[in-house]
Amino acid sequence: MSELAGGGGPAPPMAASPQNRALVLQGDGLQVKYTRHAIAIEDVHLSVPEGALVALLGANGAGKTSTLRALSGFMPSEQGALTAGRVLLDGKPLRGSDPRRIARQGIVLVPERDKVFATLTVEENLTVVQTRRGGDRRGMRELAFEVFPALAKLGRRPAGLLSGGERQMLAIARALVADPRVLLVDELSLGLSPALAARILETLPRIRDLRGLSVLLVEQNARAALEVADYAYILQTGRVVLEGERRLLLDNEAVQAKYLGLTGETSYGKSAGHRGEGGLHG
Amino acid sequence: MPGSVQNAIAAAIPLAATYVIAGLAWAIIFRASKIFNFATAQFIVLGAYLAYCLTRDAHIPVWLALILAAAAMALIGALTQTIFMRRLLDASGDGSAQASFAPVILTFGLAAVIEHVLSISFGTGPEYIASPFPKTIFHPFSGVVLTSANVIIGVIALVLWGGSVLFIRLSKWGMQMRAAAEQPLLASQSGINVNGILIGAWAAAAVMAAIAGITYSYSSVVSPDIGNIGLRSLAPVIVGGMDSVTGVLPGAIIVALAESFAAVGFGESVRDAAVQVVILAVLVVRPSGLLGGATVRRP
Amino acid sequence: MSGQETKQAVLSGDANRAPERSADRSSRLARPALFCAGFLALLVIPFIANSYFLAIAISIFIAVIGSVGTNLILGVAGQASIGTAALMAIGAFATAQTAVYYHWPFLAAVLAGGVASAVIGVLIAIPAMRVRGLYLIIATLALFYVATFLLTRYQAAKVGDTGFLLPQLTFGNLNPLVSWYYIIGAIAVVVVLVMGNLLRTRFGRAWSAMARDEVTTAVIGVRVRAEKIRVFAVSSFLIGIAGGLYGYYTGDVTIGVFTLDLAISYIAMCVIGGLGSVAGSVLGAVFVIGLPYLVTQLTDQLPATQAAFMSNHVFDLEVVVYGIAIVGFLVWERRGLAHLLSRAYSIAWSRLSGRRGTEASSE
Repeated sequence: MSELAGGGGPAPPMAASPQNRALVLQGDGLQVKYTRHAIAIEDVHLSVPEGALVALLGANGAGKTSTLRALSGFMPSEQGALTAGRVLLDGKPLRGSDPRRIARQGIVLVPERDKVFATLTVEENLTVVQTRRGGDRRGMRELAFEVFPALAKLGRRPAGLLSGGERQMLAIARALVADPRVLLVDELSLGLSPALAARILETLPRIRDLRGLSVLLVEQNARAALEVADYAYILQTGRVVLEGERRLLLDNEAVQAKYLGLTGETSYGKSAGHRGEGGLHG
Repeated sequence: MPGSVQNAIAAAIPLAATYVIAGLAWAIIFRASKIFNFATAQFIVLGAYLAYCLTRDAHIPVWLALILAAAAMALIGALTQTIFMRRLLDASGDGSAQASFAPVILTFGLAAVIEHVLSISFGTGPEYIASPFPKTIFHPFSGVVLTSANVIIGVIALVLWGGSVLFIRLSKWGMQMRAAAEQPLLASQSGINVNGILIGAWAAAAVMAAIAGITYSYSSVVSPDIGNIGLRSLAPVIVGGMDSVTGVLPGAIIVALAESFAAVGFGESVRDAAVQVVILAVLVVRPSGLLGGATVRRP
Repeated sequence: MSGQETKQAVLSGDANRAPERSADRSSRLARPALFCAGFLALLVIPFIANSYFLAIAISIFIAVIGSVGTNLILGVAGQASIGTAALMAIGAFATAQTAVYYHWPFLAAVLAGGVASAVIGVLIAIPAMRVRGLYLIIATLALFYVATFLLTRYQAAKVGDTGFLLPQLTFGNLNPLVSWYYIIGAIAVVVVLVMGNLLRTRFGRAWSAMARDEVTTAVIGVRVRAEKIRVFAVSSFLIGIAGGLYGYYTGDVTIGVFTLDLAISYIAMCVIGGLGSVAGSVLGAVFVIGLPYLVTQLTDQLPATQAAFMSNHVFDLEVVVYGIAIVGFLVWERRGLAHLLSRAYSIAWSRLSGRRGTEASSE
């Protein structure tokens, strides 16, 4: 685990499994600006190894969503852009910078807010997604219904009438149908009860185990995220200040207190680190 | 039935048919992109003049002229979207004032250019396109006279309307269009080619405009006055609900009847004003129209 | 920041102010100097120009008042509206009514025109406000047809085709054209100065904030409904005044002048000159009014056939040019001529003072 004092360069990650696997997604020196002046993130380096579940943590406004947008593209009308750095997918630079082309290449985002088409039915929401070229649409559809059986009965319902949890499930299901190389999930737990959020979060490693999907997960709720993630980056005011394997982050109480808001009785004990054990604390 | 009522109804039927086809031109673009394309009225006029040119200069049979003119209009519509509208992206694509402002103003400029280029090219004089329809006459009920042109154009209107409604509701592209209309960003992120969808919508709308203008000319004249009818055809869309393609039919029937009765009762010159009064009334009483969606009202 | 502080910051423009560069500072000092020079030039013109030019200038003054009013809706409030022609007609007719039948003096009659337009403008805007901004365009289009219809009937009933003949103002020994120049010019200058200042105050900032993001504007405490009514009222008032002045200047008020093309020409002034700025309204008015005369001068240089074509179609060609300009400026330079000229000015200034054109650090 490494901590940066103040700016410059990526933190050297721990010598363990992440580096031995091929990297499906890499962001090098990412800088995002809005309206050409306001810098949202700067010099951000991160990577998602094949089949890994990587978390991107940090407080509100730290730049997590901007990082995800840097990886998945901006529309010209949004006045935001990746102004420095590059994104590599399977080691190759991305072709194009608009969300559609990037999604077609395999980087699929589950957004934080507008994540489903409210005026379309659940079934239409799934139909309307375009699958990556050469992707396995049918197989991924079956997977989506296997992981989220509740969706099967909701086919005809307009997505605007779904509950928060159903909506999140549909959003993830839609992303799966696109058969992504890497799935970006923005603030899954927002607006959901802790129990529901945990249940949906737990589907991610399950999907990973079933299909080898790689996931980059943005979460304000660090506790919940670290339940499922292998590795985490911590953003603060637009920069990566800390990164490391799950176990090491959790074992360090100073880190927990300073960056994750976990103190005293709510922090993890040194032996924690087993998945699914004990559920959520606090 | 008293004679004037019969006359009004008889006049309303072909008028409603034209209003359906022209109304589709407004409604399709609005449904796809929440843009009020003021140039629709001039698209209608342009379509009619293009067909006129083809029949006059190239001596092409009338039905072929319609197809070629419609194709030319489709191209113009597509180019308008991809060259101009696409560049006018604003911060929010959700139909707020900021988002729709610049595209609307642009269509004003476009309408002005088309109108006056046509005026330079053709002047004000009425021109004629021979009607390709047989001149048979029907008497569906007492006192009401319809020509075969009225009937055929009425059928065309119903087919175009029904086809549009079904296409949007059931087809894959219709689904993508509805998605893109609701949230362009999410649609792009889902892999949908939003610009491509909009090009299709603009082309389809321009074709509708051409058909409306040309079929109208068959039983009337080709002249700049068609532009007034084009602007009046906005009323069926507002009555039916601006973002409802389905609503164009009931809207057209209601407006055509209202206009015809007003004309019979108060004279030809009240047509424009009567229709606009209907529009204002709808805006005040029920802005979303008959079938308009929740997107219309303020949150 | 507390809610009050946020509101203050937005309304005073502090929140958005980019760091001032030295070039900006010098051009800020130069701007009042430019204004004074312009003002003096305006004062002096009647002594050196001929009546042809004076007439053009007066038309420009009237158009400036109308375009400043129109730009309030189009540029500041960011709403599409084609109501200028109808509101101008209403102003002209109200002025005619009060001047001819109630014998009100000049200023009172013109003010009556402004008030009448303001009332109608607000009435039309209120239902349109309940719905997304788009509907204002439909409502103003409907207003155009209904107003035209009613005023045509009214004119036919009262005076017929000749229109209302307004009482001629007497200026003693002074040349009437020169007198009109100063009177309407003075009104135009006052309008420009007052509106320019108004836009810098909390009103203007509230209106622009409203245009950009209504929800946030309401949250920081601006009463959006009231402000919307206010901006429509002021805008319509100015347009009505322009209509009344036009009536007095030409001496004759008929409905035939107030066409949709007129409304589009005012939209063109705002778009070409620069949306949202008073300077833009002025530049746009100069361009749109001046263009036909420029074209006529150029036409005289052309060979006969082309000259004939031009003069036969001069009106249509003008509108085609406006239409293309509207499209072009909207797509490529929303801030219009005002911005282009100010950039040219800053570039010229920095070259002259020997500084190399440095890029801003944040660009």
